[in-house]
Amino acid sequence: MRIALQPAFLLHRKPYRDSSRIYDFFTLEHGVISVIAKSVWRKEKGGSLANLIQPFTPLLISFVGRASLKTLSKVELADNHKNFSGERVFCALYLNELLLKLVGRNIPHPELFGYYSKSLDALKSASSVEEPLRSFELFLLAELGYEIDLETDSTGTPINECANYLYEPTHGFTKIQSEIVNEGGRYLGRDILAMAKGEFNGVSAALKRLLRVTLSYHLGEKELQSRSLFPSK
Amino acid sequence: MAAASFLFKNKVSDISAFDSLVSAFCCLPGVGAKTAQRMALHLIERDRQGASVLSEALQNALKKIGKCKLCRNLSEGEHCEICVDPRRDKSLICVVENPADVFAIEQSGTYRGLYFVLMGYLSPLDGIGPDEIGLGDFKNRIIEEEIKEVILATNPTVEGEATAFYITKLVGLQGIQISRIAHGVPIGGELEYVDSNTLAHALSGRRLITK
Ligand SMILES: [Zn+2]
Repeated sequence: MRIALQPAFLLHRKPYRDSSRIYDFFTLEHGVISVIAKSVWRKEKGGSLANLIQPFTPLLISFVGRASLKTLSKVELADNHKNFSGERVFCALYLNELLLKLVGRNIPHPELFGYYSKSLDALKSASSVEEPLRSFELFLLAELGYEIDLETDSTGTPINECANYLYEPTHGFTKIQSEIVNEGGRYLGRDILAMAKGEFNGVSAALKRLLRVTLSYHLGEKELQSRSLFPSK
Repeated sequence: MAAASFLFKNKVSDISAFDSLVSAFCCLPGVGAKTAQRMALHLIERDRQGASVLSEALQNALKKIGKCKLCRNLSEGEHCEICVDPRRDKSLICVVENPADVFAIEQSGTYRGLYFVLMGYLSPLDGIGPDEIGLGDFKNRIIEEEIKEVILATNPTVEGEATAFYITKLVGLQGIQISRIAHGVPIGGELEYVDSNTLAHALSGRRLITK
C-alpha cells in the first residue's frame, strides 16, 4: 500500500533501534497510525525535514507498507506550525494523549481529525482553555461510540430540570432522592440540560467532573499524564 | 545473527558468545545488525589488543563516571569539573537537555557560567514529569545559590519549549532574570533554504539595530 500526501498531525514520537524513529500520526483518512522513519531517511534529508515533524504542525505525509508496519517516505508542511504560548501547550499535549490512549489504530476518523485541528486553533485563541477542552472530550467520546446521554436518564425518561442525578459510565444518569448524596457525586438536572445544549458556562465544574469519570472509565488501566502539568489555578 | 555461525561450526557455546557480542553492539545509535557483526568480527579476528583496551576502558568508565550532584552532567567525581572551576561565573546558569549540549556550548567557547543538565525534557506522554528531569533539585539550587540569571537552552521543539516555559514559571517566583537562547537562521545559511518554522522563529525573535 502506498499513500501519498495524507494530511496528518504528529501525536508522539519515540526512538527506535538504529537511530530510527517511530512516529504516531493522526491522519485524515487512516486514523491514528504508527510509521517508522529510517535513520537513512533522516540523514539524507539533512535532518531538516525530520525537524518539521513536530506536534501541532499540519503535515502532508506519504508512506508505504501494511497496517502493522508502515514506513515514512515523504513529509511536507501543509500549513504553519500552531504555536502555543506558555502553558496552553500542555493542554494541546493532553489532546494528543487522549487520542493516543483512546483511539484504536488504523481506524479512519475524518470528522474527529477536523475537530482536532479546530480544537487546536481554539486552544490557541480562546480566552479560557476549559471550553475547547470539554468540547473536544465530548466530541471524542461521541465519535468512539461512548456518547454521554445528556437528555434522558437510565430509564429512558427525559432529564428533569429540578431533579438530582447520580452518574455512572455504565448506566448513565439515575434519578435520586435529592440530598442523600453529597454534592461531589451529584448532578443537577438543569446543569445536565445546559450541557446538552452546549452551554458550558456556569456548569464547567460539573462537566469536568462528569468527563473525568467517563474518560477514566474508558481508559481503564491507562493513566493520563499531561494533566499533571496543567496550569494550576 | 545466524549469518555469523559459519565461523564456529563445531562449538555451539562459542556461537552464542559471538552472537551476544554482536547484539551488544546493536545498542549503539546508528549500529544495525550488519554493522554490529562487522565490528565484532574486526575486534575478535584482527584486533584482539584493541578489543581488550576497549573492554577495559568501558568497564572503567562505567565504574567511574556518574552524575554531578550539582548540575547532573556526567562527572567522574561527586562534582564535575565545570561546577568546581573557580573561574566560572557562578551567577549564571544555563539549562540544557543533554550532556551533548554542554559539550556543544563549551566548544563555542563563549560561555563562562554554570550548567544544569535535565537529561531529557518534559514529556508527559512518556511519563516524564518535572521530577524525572530534576526540576526539584534545580529549584533548590536557585534558592540556595547566588544565581542572577537562568539561560534556557532547551531545544526549539514543542517539548523543549514546554520545558522552558515550565522552568520559567518555576524560577519566575524567585525574582531571577530568565533568558531564552535565540533561534534562527544558521550562519552561512541562505534564507530560501531555511524551513518556515525556523524562519518564523527568527522573525519573531528579531533584534532592533537602529532606533
Ligand atoms: Zn556539575
